[in-house]
Amino acid sequence: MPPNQIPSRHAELMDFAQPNLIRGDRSRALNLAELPEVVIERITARLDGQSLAQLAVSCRRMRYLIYTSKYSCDIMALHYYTRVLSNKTDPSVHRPSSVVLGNSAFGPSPTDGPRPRKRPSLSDDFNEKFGALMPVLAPLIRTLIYRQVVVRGLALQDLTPMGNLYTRTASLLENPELGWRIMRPDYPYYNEEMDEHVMGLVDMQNPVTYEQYMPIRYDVGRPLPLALYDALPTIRALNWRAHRIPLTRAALPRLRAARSAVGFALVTGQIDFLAELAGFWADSFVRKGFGNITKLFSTEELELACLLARTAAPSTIQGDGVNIIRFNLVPRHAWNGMYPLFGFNWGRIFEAAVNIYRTDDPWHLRAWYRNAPIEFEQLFFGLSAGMVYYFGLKQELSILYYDS
Amino acid sequence: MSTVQILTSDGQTVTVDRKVVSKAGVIDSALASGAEGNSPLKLDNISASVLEKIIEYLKHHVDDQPDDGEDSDDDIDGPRRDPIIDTWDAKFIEVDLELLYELILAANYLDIKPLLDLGCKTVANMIKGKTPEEIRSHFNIPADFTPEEEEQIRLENEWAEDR
Repeated sequence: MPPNQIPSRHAELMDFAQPNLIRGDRSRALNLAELPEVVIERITARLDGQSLAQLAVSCRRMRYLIYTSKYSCDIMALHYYTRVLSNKTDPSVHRPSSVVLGNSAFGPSPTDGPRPRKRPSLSDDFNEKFGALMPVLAPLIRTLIYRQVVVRGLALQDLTPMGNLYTRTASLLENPELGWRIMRPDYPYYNEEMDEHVMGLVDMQNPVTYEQYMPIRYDVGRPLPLALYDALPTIRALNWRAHRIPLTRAALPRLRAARSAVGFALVTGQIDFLAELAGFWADSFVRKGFGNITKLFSTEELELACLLARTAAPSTIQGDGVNIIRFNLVPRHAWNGMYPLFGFNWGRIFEAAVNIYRTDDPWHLRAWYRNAPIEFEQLFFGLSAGMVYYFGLKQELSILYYDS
Repeated sequence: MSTVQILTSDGQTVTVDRKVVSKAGVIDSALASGAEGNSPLKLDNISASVLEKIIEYLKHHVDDQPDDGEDSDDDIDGPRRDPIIDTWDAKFIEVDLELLYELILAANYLDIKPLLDLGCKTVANMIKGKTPEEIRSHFNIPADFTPEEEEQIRLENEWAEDR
């Protein structure tokens, strides 16, 4: 090759090296599907779920490139779930290809369909970034289940690897007529009986015995669980910082009388305000954005996340006429005072949000978190209150708790 | 002003400001390695008309600072970028599909990421809101499914359709 001739740089550009492309041969017009894969990926990376779904069925090559892209499948799966939530798609009638769901982090089964192609190393980084939203997005699936499925089984999920949580929860949609099913049959404390009457989530990092896990229905007039008392310092701290209304021990007798989360909120006299706050912060989350968050996720995705955060009760499950909110309060695992509250691992969510905020520098993030503005606490406390509000007013609730 | 001569695929020699053309990663590397010599740089992949268009783009953006990795190849799987296109860029990229494809291919080949992104954004914006049939028609994509596959895919895609 002469020294002044610039060589082809990449193997993937070989199709660019075809004569009709190189020399501008106009004998046959190019079509979009003939562009190099690397280019098509750049295009599809800018498409929303609806457009991806439409493009994917335009021709074989597009279908292949989109269906084998983990990122594209994630976006389509999110879009699908969004449509289901907004009643635009009936999941009992229409579902995306199992390949799409299988290749999505939100899909039903890690073995369903061909695995995505090997990606550049930073795709792992992407997964990590995207996974950061999963604590917020996870309720989506549970909401779907809540709405459509009579719960009969046990959901044993690892709350830490969020992909696991999400994928496994989503797998319930595979057979909605079966209701919940055991997602971890290898769970050491599993037995068949659980299928019939045990519901809820378990932190696999802190497995408990069946007896410990067995939920206890909270009856009218029964004192609130001890765990709630344990959480009071956290609640009080958040409450005070967010609303300047101290929650003192004087409130405890009234709390004891409270029979539900709604009652609790009403006792503190803040339910409307908290719900409003939840909506306000959820909207702010989308519209104002927190730093780089809007660069990382589309408005659609953020709206979805906020919708979920507002409307889903993460540990609310329904079955056999019993509606349950589990207070998974485990103070000994307090993570800067924000560990599980209302069933959410708030510490993880907080961390995720901070990671979303400044994804480019995880170490900076941690430093930033330590000096996090009060708004974040308001956000999460408000959202949690919003969840309780939403379900509290619409459902006759029982409170179950798990005091480790 | 230092200039560079480039020999295009259709045999034309184009003289370009070195600073401008150095915005193309591949050419910059070639110049840095002394590939130019006494002869023009050969670009077998790019015609004069496409090169002129590219030079127009590079001239306009010659003083732009490079992105700090935000638009690196590696994040292709990651964040979806802002779909909004700068006014001048939008005007610049108002070309027919064939030229748009060639600009994208050339930008990819020459390693001009902002132009590549501009082209990809433009195509993505064109795709949005179209049905599969409209996409095929607009982008000259031949339908290569069998009737059976077509029907299966239609059913498979019903979830995304508003009824």
